[in-house]
Amino acid sequence: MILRAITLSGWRCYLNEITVGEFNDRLNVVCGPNGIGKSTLFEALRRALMDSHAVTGQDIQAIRPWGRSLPPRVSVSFLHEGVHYRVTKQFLDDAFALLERKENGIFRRLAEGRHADEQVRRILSKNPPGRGLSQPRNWGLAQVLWAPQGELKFSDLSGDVITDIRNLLGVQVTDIAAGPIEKKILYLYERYFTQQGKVKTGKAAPPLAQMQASLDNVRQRRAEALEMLQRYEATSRRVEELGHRHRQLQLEIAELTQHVTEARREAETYRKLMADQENIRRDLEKTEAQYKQLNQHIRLIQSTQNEIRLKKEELKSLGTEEALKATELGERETRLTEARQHLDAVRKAGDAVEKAEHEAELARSYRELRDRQATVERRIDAIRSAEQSLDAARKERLALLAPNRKTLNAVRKAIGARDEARLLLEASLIRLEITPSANGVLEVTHGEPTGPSPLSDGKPFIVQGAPEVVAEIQGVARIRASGPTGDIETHRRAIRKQEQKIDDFTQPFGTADLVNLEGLVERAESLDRRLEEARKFLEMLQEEKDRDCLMKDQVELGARISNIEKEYPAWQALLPDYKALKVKAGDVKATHAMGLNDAALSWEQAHSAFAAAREQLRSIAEKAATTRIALQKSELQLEDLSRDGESLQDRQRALEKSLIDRDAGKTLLKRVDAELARFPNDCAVALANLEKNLQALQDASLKARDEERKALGTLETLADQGHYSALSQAEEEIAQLEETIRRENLKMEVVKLLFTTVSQCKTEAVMSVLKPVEEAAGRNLMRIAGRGLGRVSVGEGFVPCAVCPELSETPVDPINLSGGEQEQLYMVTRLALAEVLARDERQMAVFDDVLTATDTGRLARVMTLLEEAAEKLQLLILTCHPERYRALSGAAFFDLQQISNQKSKMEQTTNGHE
Amino acid sequence: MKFLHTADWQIGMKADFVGSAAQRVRDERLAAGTRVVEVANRSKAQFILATGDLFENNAVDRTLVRRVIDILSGFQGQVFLTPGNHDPLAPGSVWDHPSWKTHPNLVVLKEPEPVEIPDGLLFPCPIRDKYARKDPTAWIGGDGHDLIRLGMAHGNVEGLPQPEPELPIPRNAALWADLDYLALGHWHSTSTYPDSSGIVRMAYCGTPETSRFGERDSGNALMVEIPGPKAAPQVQVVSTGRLQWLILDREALAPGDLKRIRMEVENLGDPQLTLLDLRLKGLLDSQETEELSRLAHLTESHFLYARLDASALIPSPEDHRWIESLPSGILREAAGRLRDLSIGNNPEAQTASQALILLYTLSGEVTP
Repeated sequence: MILRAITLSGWRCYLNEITVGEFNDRLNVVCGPNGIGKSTLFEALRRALMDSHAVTGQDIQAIRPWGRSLPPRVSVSFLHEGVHYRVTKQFLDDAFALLERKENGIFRRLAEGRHADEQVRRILSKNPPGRGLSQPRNWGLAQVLWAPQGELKFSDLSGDVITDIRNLLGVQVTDIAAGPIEKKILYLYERYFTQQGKVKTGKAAPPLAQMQASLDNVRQRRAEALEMLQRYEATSRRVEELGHRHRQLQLEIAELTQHVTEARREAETYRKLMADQENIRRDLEKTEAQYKQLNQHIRLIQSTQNEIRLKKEELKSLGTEEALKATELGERETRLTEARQHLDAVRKAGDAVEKAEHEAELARSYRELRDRQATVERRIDAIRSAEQSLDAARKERLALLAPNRKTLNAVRKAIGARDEARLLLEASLIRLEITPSANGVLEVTHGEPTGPSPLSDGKPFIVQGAPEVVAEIQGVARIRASGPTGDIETHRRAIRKQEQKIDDFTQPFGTADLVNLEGLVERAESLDRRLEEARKFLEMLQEEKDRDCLMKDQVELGARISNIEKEYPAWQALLPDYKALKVKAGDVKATHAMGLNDAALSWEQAHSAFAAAREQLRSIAEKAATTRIALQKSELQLEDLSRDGESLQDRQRALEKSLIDRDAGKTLLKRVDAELARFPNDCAVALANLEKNLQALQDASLKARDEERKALGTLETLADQGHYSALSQAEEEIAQLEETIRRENLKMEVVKLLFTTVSQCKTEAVMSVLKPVEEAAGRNLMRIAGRGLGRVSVGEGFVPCAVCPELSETPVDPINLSGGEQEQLYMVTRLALAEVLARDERQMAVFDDVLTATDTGRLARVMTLLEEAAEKLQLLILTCHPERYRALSGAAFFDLQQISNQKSKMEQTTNGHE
Repeated sequence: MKFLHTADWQIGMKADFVGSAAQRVRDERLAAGTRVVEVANRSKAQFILATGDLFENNAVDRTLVRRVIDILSGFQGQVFLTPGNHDPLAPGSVWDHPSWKTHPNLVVLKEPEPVEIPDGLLFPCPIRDKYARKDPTAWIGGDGHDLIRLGMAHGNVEGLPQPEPELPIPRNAALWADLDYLALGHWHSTSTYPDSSGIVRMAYCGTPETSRFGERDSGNALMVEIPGPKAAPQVQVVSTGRLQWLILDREALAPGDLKRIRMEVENLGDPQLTLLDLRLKGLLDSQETEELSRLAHLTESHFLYARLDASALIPSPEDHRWIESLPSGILREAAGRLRDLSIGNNPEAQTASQALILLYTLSGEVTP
């Protein structure tokens, strides 16, 4: 559709009729200040082409001019498919619609009323609204082509537009006939699956869910039937096992019973033999006891008689021995007395030994005292000498008068200060040196030396002074020298002061020479060190004992030595050899000890012999006494044993008889033992064990029988229940259900495969359609904004959904772009789509006050794009900034302000004429 | 001596592969048992030998036991029964049912010891342990050679195509045990074992009613006549089964093949006695989908049981109508992809085939 002109009146701010046009086929800019009615113009255009003339409501009421009762009216002249149409609509009051078509240069009525409305909409949109003012989704292609104020962004294009775009792109995504088939496929799919591709659950679940539930139930039944069948089989096995066991036990019982009977017989025989053995043993014991007793009696009598005889002989022998022993005892006693006397004599001779030892010890002590005495005397002498040295050193030190280090440093300091003052003085003096070339006289009036001084030829003469030196050589010159003023008096005072100090410090020492003074100091220090050393030496000598103590020791030692010398006066002249004396004392001692030892030994031997003899005698006497007593006792015993009056022969005869009886008993016992040896164990114990085993087997058999009967009862109950049949039935049902489920699953898989394949094909087709739009939009965006934003990604609805910058791994949602970049993105997308839509017929694109956030630089590039787009599109730009679009080549500008003013003037002129 | 040899009634057998027809299949087995007794009565057999597996399991419903007893008690003579590996002689087995004792003509042989019968000796080999590895006929001794000696055993004759280690019976058991005839049970197909001179002295009578698809030579009993001791037995196969278990493997290669198959299926025997396993393979022409639907409907509704497996039937790659009949655009694209996926012999290919057929069907429903 190409717009030619638009006329409106009674529309918001447009009270009187205004016509804007003729628009050219390419670039048209409608401009004017804010509030002039640019957007109103666009609104009127839309209402004329999209809305029903009979629409009511608040929205349509709002387009009536404020405070007026004027009916809004609009007329749009446009070209479509080469045909020139004009649609005129009046709203609210006397609403009407008129569609005209230019035929032979004249507009002729084509349709009126709602027919006109419908025809116009059909021309421009395939999706007219049911009622009410149209929304963008009902605008058809204008959704893409017309951007309302501030709404460059778009979304959710209607399906027919999408289809148109796709068709225009030449890709037959789907034949119209495919729609119902797709619907059927979708219907089938949605019977089973959700939109997310999952199997439906709950009330909407396909029959499969119920089949599965039934299958689970039947499986449960099967499991229960199987369990019961297994229990039946297990019980059957158990009954069989118990039956086997019962029979086995019965066999064992029979066999064991035989063993028990036999064992009982054996036990009886064994019992009898044991009784016989017991009787025989008892008799035998009795016989043996009797024999023993007789034998013992006889032996006792015999032994007693023998004992009496022996005792008598012994007594006799002991008497003889006793007499001999008494004689021996007397002799030994005599010998003992002699030995004792000898020992006493030897002991008395021990005094000489003591004396010799005492002399040797005293000699050693005397030598020691003499040595100590000599040591003490030497120490005392040393102390005296050290005291003398100390006195000498003190005297010498006292005689030397020398400064100390501190004084010396003070002198140094004073000398330094003095010298410094001199230097300053020197520096502050003016020095005049005159070297005359002839003899003369110099009269110094200021300076030193003051007064006349002779000058010799070639000999320099120096005059100093401050602050000037004035001298005159009579008849030659008067010389005056001046220099930097300095306070020489201060310096001189300082010099004097320091010299006084030096004098004060050094006067006692007789020299002010620093070197001499240093020498004095060193000497004084040396003497001090010597003095200190002498003092320390003296201290060391008296460390242990002082001189007084030593002298006391000396006196003591002298006294002790004198005492010894009194006993041995010869030692005074000749010192004793205490070692020789010691040796001699040792010899004396040894000799004495040997003699003493021999005497003691002899005495001991004599004493031992005597004691032994005495002991033997005593022993013999004791023994004799004991023998007498024993003899007495034996005689009494014999008397007792023979009290029954029987003779020894009678007793012997009785003994022999008893022996015979005993032997007979032993033989009998042996025979019984041999018989008992046949039996390996105690048969009673073995029998008891067997009977216990038999009882246990019988109990086990009864138990097995009871268990078998019980199990049999259970088995019969289980058998009656026919679990195999229940199991079979369940398994048949399971097989049937599984087969049904398999078929149902297959059906679902088939539907799913069909659906996903169709969807996939559809998606791929759409994607192939999107590509040209993406590429066109991407190219233009790059021309405007550079490479930064990258590729444009467009969704199925041709709405830009992302940009894909090269530096980003993930696409960027347009919402994350700046306002200006978003404007540019949607602008290029609209232009790309508009170019597609305009492929067959030039179309009008409207941009109402867009690109407000785009900067000047990019705006310039956008203008270039608009110029290019104008090759295929009629562009209608509404703006309050006409200057931005002045650069557009070939653009027609429509200034609404001017148009309004012109219109007003014309009306005024017309009214004036009237 | 004339007797009927039967075995392997497998009463109470599970039929988990025939869907809702399972109960009917089980009931037919009882009916087959009735027919066995009728044949025996009609042929004036002196006795019946039932050599094991009369019941599928010892824990079958006891009403089934009573029904079998009732059926057998309808025979005019004696029925000698031995337990098999499915109904071994174990505590709580079907043989402990008190009803056996109420019919004196029914003799359950529980011990491996000779039993006197008119003009003969019977040597039964009852099974106690289903997993026994011992020859059940090993105990048979050499008594009674002037009488007709009959053996009753249940197990695996050596040389069977799928040997099992349990209950082995030597190929020459009849000869070794000096039997005139050894009646065998265990295998459901009727089989005879002629000796070296061609005389049949050992035979499996087979099950009286076929029990599954692919079972060969079943649904029979054997009528045996032996003139005298050492004489050659005359063994006649008597058909007792009624159900037909059919496996049809058919291939469709060209248009019209499916119709032909459908007509063949329609002309099968009594559908209420027929269990059909129909397997189709080949190429499906787009114009034949209707025919396929009709075939599916036929199998679902017409027979006692029918199973149609058309997973190996793929849309014909050369039939462009699969694609071209669809609206242009994504549906054709999708159809092309499904056709490509349908080539192959794997579950994914089968799903793709079905998806393509479904797409085509939906398109046919929408397109006038």
